[in-house]
Parts: sequence; structure tokens; C-alpha cells
Amino acid sequence: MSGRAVYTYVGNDPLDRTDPSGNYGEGTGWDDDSWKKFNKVQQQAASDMDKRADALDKKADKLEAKGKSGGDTLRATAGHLRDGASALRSDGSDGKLANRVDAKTYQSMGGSENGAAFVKGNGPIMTVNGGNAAAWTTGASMSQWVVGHESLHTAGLNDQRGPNGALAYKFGFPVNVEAFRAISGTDKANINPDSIMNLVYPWLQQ
Amino acid sequence: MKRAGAIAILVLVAGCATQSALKPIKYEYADVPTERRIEVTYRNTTGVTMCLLPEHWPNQAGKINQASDSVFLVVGQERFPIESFNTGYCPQGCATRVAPGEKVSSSIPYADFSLPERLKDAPKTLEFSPMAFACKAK
Repeated sequence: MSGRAVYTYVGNDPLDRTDPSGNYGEGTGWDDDSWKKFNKVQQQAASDMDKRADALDKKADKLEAKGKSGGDTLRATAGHLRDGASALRSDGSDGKLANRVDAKTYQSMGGSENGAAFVKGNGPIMTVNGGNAAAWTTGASMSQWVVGHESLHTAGLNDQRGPNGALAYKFGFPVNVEAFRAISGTDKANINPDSIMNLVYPWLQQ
Repeated sequence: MKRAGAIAILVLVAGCATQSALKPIKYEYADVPTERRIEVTYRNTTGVTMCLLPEHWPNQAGKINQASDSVFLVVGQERFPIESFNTGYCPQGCATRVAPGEKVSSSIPYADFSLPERLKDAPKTLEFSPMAFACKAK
């Protein structure tokens, strides 16, 4: 831990584990530098998700003012984004923590090789693969996409499958991208984490 | 149940692998009750490298990505879904690459199906229809 007290960040109270900056509580495995970088990423992602949620709500207001349908779906999506942002902003007191592990530990816990981060089930713990530097050097926005995506799992959403049987991701293999495109505009897209993150960072390309 | 007797071979349509298109694959599974796990094995009999996505093949920890609605262990009249597990986000994609002629094995613990201990030695059937696609070697 590069010489610092392990629990300094949480007020030397590892049982409380409150992050005073108001983000995913700092779990285990971080040093000052890596936590600072990760924390910056999650703060920015939360901010961007909240802004998009506000924009979706305004759009819903306009639709409803004109007597048009579609507002409910937009508000639901906005709600998912706020739930994800809330997870990213958790102070840790509710158990939402980000733990950083090495690549070997990450895989032994069930994470995919080459993975960046995972949330088990729809639980409160984000496990970050600190041993996969390549996954975290693809650009700040890509990192924000990853933590935003994972926060939507904590918010209760699961990745959806496309008609080809692959999970729908905007990034990755062509079969995943094909699935992502295939569910665009369908009900599945309204609950698919990557489809929702695409509303936040539509300009991000592979 | 003896392991040799428990081996079941699923004959699925192997089909010719087309670049980037998912196709069903032929695989084998074996029940290993003494170690409370199901072992799955895929041998690549095509002439090209095949990629197995995390949602279509267990990783080294035995986890399949978000497959609780598609992978089941059936014991008699009872059907146990695999646990809902998110194996995580891979910005560059995640897959198990299998070169032509090579095989890959992985084990799914009984615990991941929440299989009751009373059913440990009962005959089991795995409902699992993985697919793969032709890909470049690493």
C-alpha cells in the first residue's frame, strides 16, 4: 500500500468504510495513485450519467406537453442512469465498495481474462482488475463507460442477448456489436446497460 | 455414479464456422460427483481457431456470463439454473480461443447450480447449448 495507512481514506474505520468524497467507497487493494485515478473516472461517469438523465426527463416533459407517447420509457431510462450514478456516488456506508485485485485473483473470483471490472450478480461490490493495465488505458471516456456499465448492474440491470445469441455490447467482438445493433430500438435496449451508456457517450467508438 | 458412466455426448450441429457468426458447437460433459462438479470439454475439430464467448463457455472459475436463463442442471423432475453471474466488461472483447485440434475443459461446481447435497449422486443432465465463432489466433 505504498507506505500509507491502509484505512486512512476511510477514517481508520474499516468497518464503516465511508468515502468522504461521496463516491463508491474505497475497498481493498488500492494505492493512492490508482485510487485517485479510479475515483476521478467514477466521479466523471456519475456526473455524465446524471446530466443525461436530466436531459431525458426534459425530453419526456416535452413529449407529454405535446400529448405524445414515449415519455414513460425516457423517464425509466433516466431512472436507471440515476440509480447507476447513485451507486457510483455511494459513500460506502451502504456497502457499495470498489475493490482492486491483481489479474490472477480477478480470474479466480470469476472475472474474465482481459476483463476490466465486474459486479457479481447485481450486488454492491465492483471488482476492478488492477492487473489488466490495457483495459484501463483505452482512454478516460472508455473507463467511464466501463464503470458506468458496471454501476448499472448494481442498479439491477443485466446485459441482454441479441438474436444471434451473443450479449449486446457496443465494444468487443463483431458478434457482440451485431447483437448490440440488433436490439437497438427494441424494449431490450431500454434495460441493456451498454445501450443506456450509449445515450451518455454516443460518440465513443471502438 | 462412476465418471466413465456419466459421460454424455451431445451431438449438436457442428456446421462450418463462418467468420464472426455464432454457430452451435459439439461438446462433452461429465459428472464428477466426488468433486461436486460438472466438467465440460470442447475439442476444436474445425480447421480454424474458434472463439468461445464468456456467455457461451465457463471460464477457469467455472462462471458463465449471465446464463441463468439458458444453462440448467436437470436431476429427475428438478431443474436448477446456473447462478446469475456477471463475468465483467472487456473493452477489447473476451473469449477463450481454441486452436484447430486443441481442446479446452472447464468445471462448473454443483454449488453454482445450488444443487442440494441429497442429489449429489443422482444422474444428471446438463442443459447447455454453447455457440462459438471463427476468429483469429492470438
